[in-house]
Amino acid sequence: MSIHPSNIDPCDIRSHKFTALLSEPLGNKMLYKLPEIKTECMELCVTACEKFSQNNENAARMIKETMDKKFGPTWQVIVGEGYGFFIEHQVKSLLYMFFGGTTAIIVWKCA
Amino acid sequence: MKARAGADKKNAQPVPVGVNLQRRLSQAHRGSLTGYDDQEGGNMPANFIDDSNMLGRSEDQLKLTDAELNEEHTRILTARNPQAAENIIRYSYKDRIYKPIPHVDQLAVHYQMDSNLINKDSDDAKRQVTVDTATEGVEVATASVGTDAETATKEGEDEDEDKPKKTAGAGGKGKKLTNQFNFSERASQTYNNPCRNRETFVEQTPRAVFTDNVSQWSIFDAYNEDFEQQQKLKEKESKKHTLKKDDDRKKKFVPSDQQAGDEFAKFVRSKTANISLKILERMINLNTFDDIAQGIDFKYWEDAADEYREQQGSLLPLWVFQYDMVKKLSCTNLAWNTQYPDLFAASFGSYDFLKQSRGMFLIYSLKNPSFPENMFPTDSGVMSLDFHPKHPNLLCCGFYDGSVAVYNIADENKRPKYQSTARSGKHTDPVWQVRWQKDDLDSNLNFYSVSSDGRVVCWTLVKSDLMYTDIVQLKLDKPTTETDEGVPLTTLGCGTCFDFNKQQDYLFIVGTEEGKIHKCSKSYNNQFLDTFDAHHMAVYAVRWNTYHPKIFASCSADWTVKIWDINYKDPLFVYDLGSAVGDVNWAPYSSTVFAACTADGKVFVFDLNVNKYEPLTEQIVVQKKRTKLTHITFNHQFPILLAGDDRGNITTLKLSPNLRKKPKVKKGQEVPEGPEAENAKLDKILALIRDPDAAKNKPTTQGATTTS
Repeated sequence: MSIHPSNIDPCDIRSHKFTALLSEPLGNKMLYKLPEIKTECMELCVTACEKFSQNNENAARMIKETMDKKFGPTWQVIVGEGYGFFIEHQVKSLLYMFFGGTTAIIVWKCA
Repeated sequence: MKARAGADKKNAQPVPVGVNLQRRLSQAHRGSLTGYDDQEGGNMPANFIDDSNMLGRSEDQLKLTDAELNEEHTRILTARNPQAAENIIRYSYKDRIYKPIPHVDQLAVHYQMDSNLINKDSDDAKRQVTVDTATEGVEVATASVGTDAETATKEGEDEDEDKPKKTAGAGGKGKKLTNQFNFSERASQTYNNPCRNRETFVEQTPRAVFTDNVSQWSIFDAYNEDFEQQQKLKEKESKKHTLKKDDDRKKKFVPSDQQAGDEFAKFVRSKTANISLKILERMINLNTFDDIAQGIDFKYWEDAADEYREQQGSLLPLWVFQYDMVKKLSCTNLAWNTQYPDLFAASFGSYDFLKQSRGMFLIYSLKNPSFPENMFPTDSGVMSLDFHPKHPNLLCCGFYDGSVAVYNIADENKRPKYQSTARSGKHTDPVWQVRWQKDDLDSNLNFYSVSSDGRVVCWTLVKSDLMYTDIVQLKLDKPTTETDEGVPLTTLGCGTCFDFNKQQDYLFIVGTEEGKIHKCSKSYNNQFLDTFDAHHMAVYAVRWNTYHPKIFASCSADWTVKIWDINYKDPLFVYDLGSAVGDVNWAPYSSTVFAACTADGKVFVFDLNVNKYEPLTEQIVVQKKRTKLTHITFNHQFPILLAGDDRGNITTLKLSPNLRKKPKVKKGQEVPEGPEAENAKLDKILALIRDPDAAKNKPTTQGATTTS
């Protein structure tokens, strides 16, 4: 694989790096969800981000509303490319994943 | 005047006197008025006023006498206004004279106030009603508001209240006048249920804190990490795959006919389980047969009674090998494995000509007396078998149907490696004995077989085939039948047993059903080297002596066991055992000991060194009567005998020390060991026999028959 950290100059332009990896649009950093919910939520996030690839706000809204409808009252969603957070969440109800090499999505539940 | 008087009278007298009293209050001194104010509480004497001169009179008041005071003056109340002018002259333009006005207005207005009340029935009022109805809608609303306001201000100003209501009432038809006289407010209070507060406090759902900083480089790093992990997983999986393939290949040769239904059965049949199970079985058997196996009997037990019996020995039965499947079959042959001293093979078949069925041969181990190690079922009865001396897993056997086969007992499947067929020269009669020989010049394995069809055949294992070579044909010594054509027909005798000389491989002897024993050589096909008229009935076994190259023993259905020297036509020793002798066998440890088994279930052990004429032991070893013992054999390593019978049992017997005797050694003398010593021993015996009698008849007369 050409994409080995030692081969690549870290200051290189992003688009070259991820061409191979992006074949699977998904890379997960951390999953911390009940297994039944996890896969559904992940798929939902992917769908939302693909649908609203330009508009993070709509994607986040879609995710949040669907999650609320399906799984419970209060879900919080952040979709973005550069941000920091410090959140308190209910145990076993946190999904943190990357999508498409640029977007990071965090979904958590806190009643 | 009366009003005045009334007022005056009131002032004058506290007790109401009425109108009659007409006192001139003007007479009363003013000052007395103040006095009357004080009269409220107390009694005022009526005479007080009479003392008026004294009290409260002003100086300028008229002083009148009593007569004048009693004068009555009448006053008349008229409506005439005293102030009004009595004669008013006004110029009348009509008459052009000054005329007096006839009526002078006597009315005096004291107070005047304009009101806004109109009579209901007057035109003005009616007019107003019509105006009012137009604005009625507004008024009703305002009236309702107004009523609220009115109730609030009711206690306040009555006038204000009355006004709007009355105007409304005056104009409208049927509108109720709600004023304080015909309108009242009512209120009531309902019962309010008492309220109670309840509180509960729920445990908070478990929370955790999570923090991170998202940036493009952190996303990139995460992707890379994930990628590397996937690579590692792929490597691991490929490794696992190769391992799995190896396992599959190993398992392939588990035979397909053993279909393991469930997992446990599969486990049981797997290789590793087999070994463990085998060990377990052995252990259990050791426990069961503990007293026998653990050396007490088998290894260490020595019959102490032997000390007392000079020459007699005994046979201690150890184990009995039984197997369900072969219960109805006879044991036809026993052979010890050359490599494992505890492993032996037993062949089973039927001697009965009429009852021919399947056969079997079993591999037993002394370590496991309860169950055979291996079973090989065959189509026809197995009449003989032999282990290859060099290849302990190869076994050749001869069948009742005349065929021979070579088995590899280490093989998983139970089929022979080689089998002779009708085409490849199998015998036409039962094969009574087979024996492995040394590898031939091409280092092919070969073995010999002898059968009732009169042929001794050498079979060679060439690659995957079994090649046969007729070695000898047992021709009968009869004169050929004379036919018209003159073609000589040769009839063949039936061979029942053979044995190869241990020292000279090419030399072998064959016993026949007619009772003859032929001495043959491998190199001579047509002729026998020699023939012995050995027995009257079929020779069941011939055996060369383990050490001596010239001595052999034979046993027969004619109840005798005979010891021969190859060079002499007559037997050296003859023993009559009382019933058909099934087998005779020399002991491997001594040249003078041999054992024989008979059809009445007895085992005889002879030692020529000790007693030339009588057996050291004769013992019934079978459990049930009427069991014939068919074969007997010594173990090379242990002092035990195996005896097979016609019920499918194999009995193990331990030889007592007396039977294993070695010649007594004088102290200091070297004990001669080895085959030479044995030979020498035997020679000595033979010399003893022959010496007193040079004639051939000697052995026959000297060989006293021993009764059983």
